Amino acid sequence: MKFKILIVDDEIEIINTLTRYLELDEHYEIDSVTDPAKALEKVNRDKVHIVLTDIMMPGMNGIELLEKIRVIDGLSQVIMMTAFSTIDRVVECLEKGANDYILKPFDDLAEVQNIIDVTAAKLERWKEVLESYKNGKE
Amino acid sequence: MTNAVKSLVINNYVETLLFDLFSAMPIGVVIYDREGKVIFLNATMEERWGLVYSEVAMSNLLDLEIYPANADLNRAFTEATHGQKTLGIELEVERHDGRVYWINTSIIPLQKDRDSWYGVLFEQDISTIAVEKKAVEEDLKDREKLLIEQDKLAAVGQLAAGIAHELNTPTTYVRGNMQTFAKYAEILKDLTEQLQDDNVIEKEHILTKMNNIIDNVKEISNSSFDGTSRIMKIISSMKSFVKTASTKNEQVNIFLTIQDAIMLVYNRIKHIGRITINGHVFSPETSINPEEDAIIVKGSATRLTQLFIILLNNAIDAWIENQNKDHENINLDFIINKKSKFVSVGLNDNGGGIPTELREKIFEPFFTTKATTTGTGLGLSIAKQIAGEHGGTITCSEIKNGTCFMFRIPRTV
Repeated sequence: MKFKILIVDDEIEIINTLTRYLELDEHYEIDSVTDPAKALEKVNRDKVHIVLTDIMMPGMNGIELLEKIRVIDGLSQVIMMTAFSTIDRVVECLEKGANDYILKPFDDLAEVQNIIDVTAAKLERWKEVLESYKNGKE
Repeated sequence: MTNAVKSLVINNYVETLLFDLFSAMPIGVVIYDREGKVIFLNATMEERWGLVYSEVAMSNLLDLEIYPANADLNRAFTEATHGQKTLGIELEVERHDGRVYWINTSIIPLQKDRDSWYGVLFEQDISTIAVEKKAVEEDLKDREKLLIEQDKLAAVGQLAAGIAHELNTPTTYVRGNMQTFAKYAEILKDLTEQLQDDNVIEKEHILTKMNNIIDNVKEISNSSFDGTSRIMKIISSMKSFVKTASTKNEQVNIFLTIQDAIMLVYNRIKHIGRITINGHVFSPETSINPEEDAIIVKGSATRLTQLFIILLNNAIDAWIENQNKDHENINLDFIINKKSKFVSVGLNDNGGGIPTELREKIFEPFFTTKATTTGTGLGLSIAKQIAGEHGGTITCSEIKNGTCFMFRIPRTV
């Protein structure tokens, strides 16, 4: 299964850094936006498995994006990216349904990859249950 | 006694009284006629001027050259005498023998009758008072300097979190890029080994992968270079700001000081709006070419950066307090104009404006409209001080939905 990952950050260089590293893994298809509103359109329109989003962004911030994603798709995995100075906002995110968090600057991109791998593995496991539930309903 | 006699007696009595009074006064007294000739000189003045009345009686006061170096005093005397005006003047004088002291002089022409008049000159030695006054003024200047430095340190503290965040972003992607480089190196090594295998089937595919990686390497290299440049810019702005403002006689490029100030507050604004300089949107990645756009003034780069930081923070605070229902983004626009004799720097904001009755008060120390936990009320008063130190001015006026703070400073080039 190929997992669609959507990266949301107003800093294009952060997006580029993550994209170049993560796309080396063939299991992932990487998409990205700098505008949180466009991220919401994509989540609404396409099947996005994992959203990796910054918290501090102009217009809609990451927490507002998280809340709106939860309305559209309760199963989409949302991982918050945050600087240490906004760590208190991470707690708020976890309470509002974020699935994990990553601290910036990234100490090691391999750790970022690891968090995504764990999340993807979780989705893979859920897939079986969800498909059998769906088949049962039909 | 007839009225005429009574009048004569009284006049004589008053004249004697005045004579005794002027003679005994600890203030120097000179009485001169309409031509400026000395009629009377009291003992205090004799001692101060080093003269004896009998030697200078009926000499022209100006010819005595008591203070030959003080043209202002001589001019004032001539003006008072010819123009029949009363003048008061306080100044430091140098006597003909080199002695220096401070005097307070009053020159009072008095008309006795239509054809004759005379003048009275009072001179008080205020050297002690002047010295004390000077000491107080210097103490005040030292305190003002201390206040400006303290405000600067407070600003550094307040800006530190934002600056740390600004440094975080380029650090994140430069570090991430280095790790990607390492991974690319492993992949290229692996692909190279595959290519060396004579039995390899997907040679084209491998070569395509290698070329993609090499293209990415170039992009990563550029991105990392830009990232470190961004870090260097932030550090340079900080260094320029925190160094002790030693002299006010540097050649300062106004554009650079404005850019430094924006860099240091950028984190406060980047998520809520934008800043422009003469219509160009500011971005940490781009900088104005200092040679093309240099506008040079004489002063202290540190102080001027501090002034612009104060104006920026003030505008941002105003916008935050007055956020309108439509959640309009903050827009801060620097308009820099080069005139023949001065430079004007206007900062327009959309922070809701300042009531007319407060537009002078906001420059007073400790006046603030912000909640006490955030505002000390010193910012704009310090900005005004810094402007004054540079021979400039700072004013505010109303614009649509906001305020314009205008800073004017004399040009050197």
